[in-house]
Amino acid sequence: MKFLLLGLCLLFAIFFEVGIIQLPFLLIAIVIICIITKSEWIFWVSIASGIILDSLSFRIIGESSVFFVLLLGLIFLYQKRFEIKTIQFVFISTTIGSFLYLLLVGAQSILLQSLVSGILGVFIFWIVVRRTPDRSIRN
Amino acid sequence: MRQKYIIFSFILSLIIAISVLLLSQRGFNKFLNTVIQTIFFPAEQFVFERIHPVTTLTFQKSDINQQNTNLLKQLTKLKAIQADNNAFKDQFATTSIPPNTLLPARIVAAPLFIPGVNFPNAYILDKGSLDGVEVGNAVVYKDIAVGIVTKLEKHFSKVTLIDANSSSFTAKTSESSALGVIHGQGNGEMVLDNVLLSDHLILGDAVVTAGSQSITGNGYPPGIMVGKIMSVEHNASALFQKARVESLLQFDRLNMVFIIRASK
Repeated sequence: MKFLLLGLCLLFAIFFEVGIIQLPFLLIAIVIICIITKSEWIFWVSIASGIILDSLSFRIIGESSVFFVLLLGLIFLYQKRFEIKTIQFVFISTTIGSFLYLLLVGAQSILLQSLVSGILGVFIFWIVVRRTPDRSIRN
Repeated sequence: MRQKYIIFSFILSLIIAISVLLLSQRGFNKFLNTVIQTIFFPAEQFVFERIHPVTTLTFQKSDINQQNTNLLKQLTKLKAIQADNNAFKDQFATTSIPPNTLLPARIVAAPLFIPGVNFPNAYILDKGSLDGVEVGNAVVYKDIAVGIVTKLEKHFSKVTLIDANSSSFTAKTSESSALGVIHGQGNGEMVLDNVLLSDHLILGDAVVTAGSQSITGNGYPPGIMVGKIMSVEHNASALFQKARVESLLQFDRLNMVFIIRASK
């Protein structure tokens, strides 16, 4: 049930990104899931969702997946030494991640979109943390 | 142990992602694209159509544009009907011709007429032999002569206008009753010729048809307005005097005329 909900969230993130607003919703979702769960399966999820996103966006399939995997690798590398489940880290990771990703896909108004992505990431993270019954997330 | 598992997952997923990217760059993505797009595009379209406000507005705008086009069409039709109604009203309010002989006809063409360059010398009307029109029927608008039907088809007829070069009929002035023959000069001009020198032609006097109907009723009935005298050419040494006559109608502005059908 939890995974089904997660899958639906990711799909909606893809649909929003492809069709509604040109913001890296999928990247934000993957980063937040990674920060909250700290599980290795997020790599496989990022590959699959990246392939779907690239296909629906008519881009070269795989470029988003490679970027997501590298970004998640950096996040995991960082969490070995520091606490990542903080609002500051969510903001920095989503902002910088979005900036580099938008640069990669050749988007416009990159700086503004990156800042909006960072704020949106913090907002979503805050909501998820508040509503999640898992104590490990709350701390 | 968990950390090693994460590193293993990272490296493996990175290899898979890079492999997919390389295969995609070499053109092996067509099948994958087809499968993904077939599965996900309907859902994406569903979300897009229901959530995207701009799309909704676009759809609404498109609908409004369609409605606007339809309304414009209706408005054009209504204006045409209104113009017809006005023409009917004017015609039947002013005419001295029995209404049952009048057949309204729409001008569908004016051959060889180039707006701003020349004046029409003929009209094509949307009424023909099936409507009871005959060659020789006079055509009027508000008791003002327009021309004579000279050619006939089943559904259309050709009217030669009174100012055409080939147009010629008897007419008289309304005040002095000076009798003469109207000759069309083309480009909206006519000449009242063959007027006796003893007759008095007055500037601005109205010229009306003298009546040239045949026994079947074809031709101009008497008293139909032709135009008014704009200038008089009176030469004592000539046999006749003549006057330049100008029609009261602007032939390039007419849309509808009335055919005077011969009474059976």
